[in-house]
Amino acid sequence: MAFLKISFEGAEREIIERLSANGISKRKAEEDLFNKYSYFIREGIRKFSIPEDDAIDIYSDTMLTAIEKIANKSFEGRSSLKTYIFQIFHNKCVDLLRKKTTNKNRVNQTVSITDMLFEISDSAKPVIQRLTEKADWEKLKTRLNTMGDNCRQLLLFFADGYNDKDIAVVLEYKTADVVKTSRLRCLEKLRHLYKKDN
Amino acid sequence: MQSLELIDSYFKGDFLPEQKRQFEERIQTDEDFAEEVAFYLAAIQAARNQNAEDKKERFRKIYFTNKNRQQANPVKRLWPYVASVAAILASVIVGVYLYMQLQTSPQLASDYIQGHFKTMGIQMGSHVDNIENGKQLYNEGKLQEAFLVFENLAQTDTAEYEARELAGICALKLQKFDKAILYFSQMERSTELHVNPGKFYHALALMKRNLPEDKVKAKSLLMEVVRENLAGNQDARKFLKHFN
Repeated sequence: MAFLKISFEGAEREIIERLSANGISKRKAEEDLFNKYSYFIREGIRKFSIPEDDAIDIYSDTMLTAIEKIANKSFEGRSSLKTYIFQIFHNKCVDLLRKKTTNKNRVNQTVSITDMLFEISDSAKPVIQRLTEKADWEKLKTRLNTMGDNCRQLLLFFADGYNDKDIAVVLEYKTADVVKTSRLRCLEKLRHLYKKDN
Repeated sequence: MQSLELIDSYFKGDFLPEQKRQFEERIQTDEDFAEEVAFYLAAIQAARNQNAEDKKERFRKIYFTNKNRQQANPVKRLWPYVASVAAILASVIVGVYLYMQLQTSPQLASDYIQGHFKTMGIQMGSHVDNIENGKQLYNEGKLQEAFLVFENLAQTDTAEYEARELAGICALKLQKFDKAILYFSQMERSTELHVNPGKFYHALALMKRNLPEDKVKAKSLLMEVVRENLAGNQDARKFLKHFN
């Protein structure tokens, strides 16, 4: 069934294109998107009577979800970007209120690597799932942050969907191949740091 | 390093189907290799989580920077309200101006008649003549009767210009415009009256009657009133502004 796609107003279309491109202007596009609808924070505070800190947190989470959906093309444009973002924000506000009323405000954040597991066949998937469940996320995070700035940036950009070519431009490496080699070295280094105390 | 490169190529989709099958078979048979794959995914996920935290922190900074900037520049925050008020004021001014412009000459005349011809001044004293009787009737709202008194006086005494003035005013209030114009134009021609508003009243009656050509004639009379500095010239000036 073909869904009716709406046509975006100029500013929305431009942001969507910059976020979808995953290129060097992505960071600026993220900030533009954040600023464009940041008045939702005030609406969240007013409508849901939630503290400003929570409202900022929820709006930031909303942004991350929207950015990811746009970047991986899951956002199909069946509504305007504003409506789409407001819906996510609204649902997250409602979720927070529910958690507060059931004293589940601090819910342990589960780490999901589901989307990457899609690549793996059903027969091999359980093996990887079992092993990643054992991962010490806090330790991995600490080790990642104690690496040198170059390595940290390489890995963060790659995890954010930038390809080696984009990273070469942003971090001023000579070629994408140099980025790839450096990135894998950094990954190796992280593995050593992580395994060292295990 | 070699394993990581292999794993990297697999997740970037660089493998052919056969290479993919071999890779996945190795995951099931080689525990060390499976751990490396799991580590690769966990590392990327950890970097993603860190990205999310960094971005949230960056967003928070942007939010507070913008907020502080807005608080530091209250004028900037106020400008939409100031602009709204200015727009409303401008609309009101334009509206009033347009209303003034669009106010018709019959309306102007009506306003004048209502404001200036409410009552007639009665001279106090023991002698009560017909003029005073007519004024009395006028002030009691008996316009038709007052008109008959003034008209009778004007017809019997051709020199009685006050009777013509009052008859004209009554006629104007009774919407007998032709009569009003007749009496005012007679009055207008008098050279005896020291203060003669006849021409102005004539113009007023024409404005109120509002037949084709009346406006042009009224304008011409008003201009004469102003030019010759006749009685009613101040009001004539105001009326003329609406004619332009």
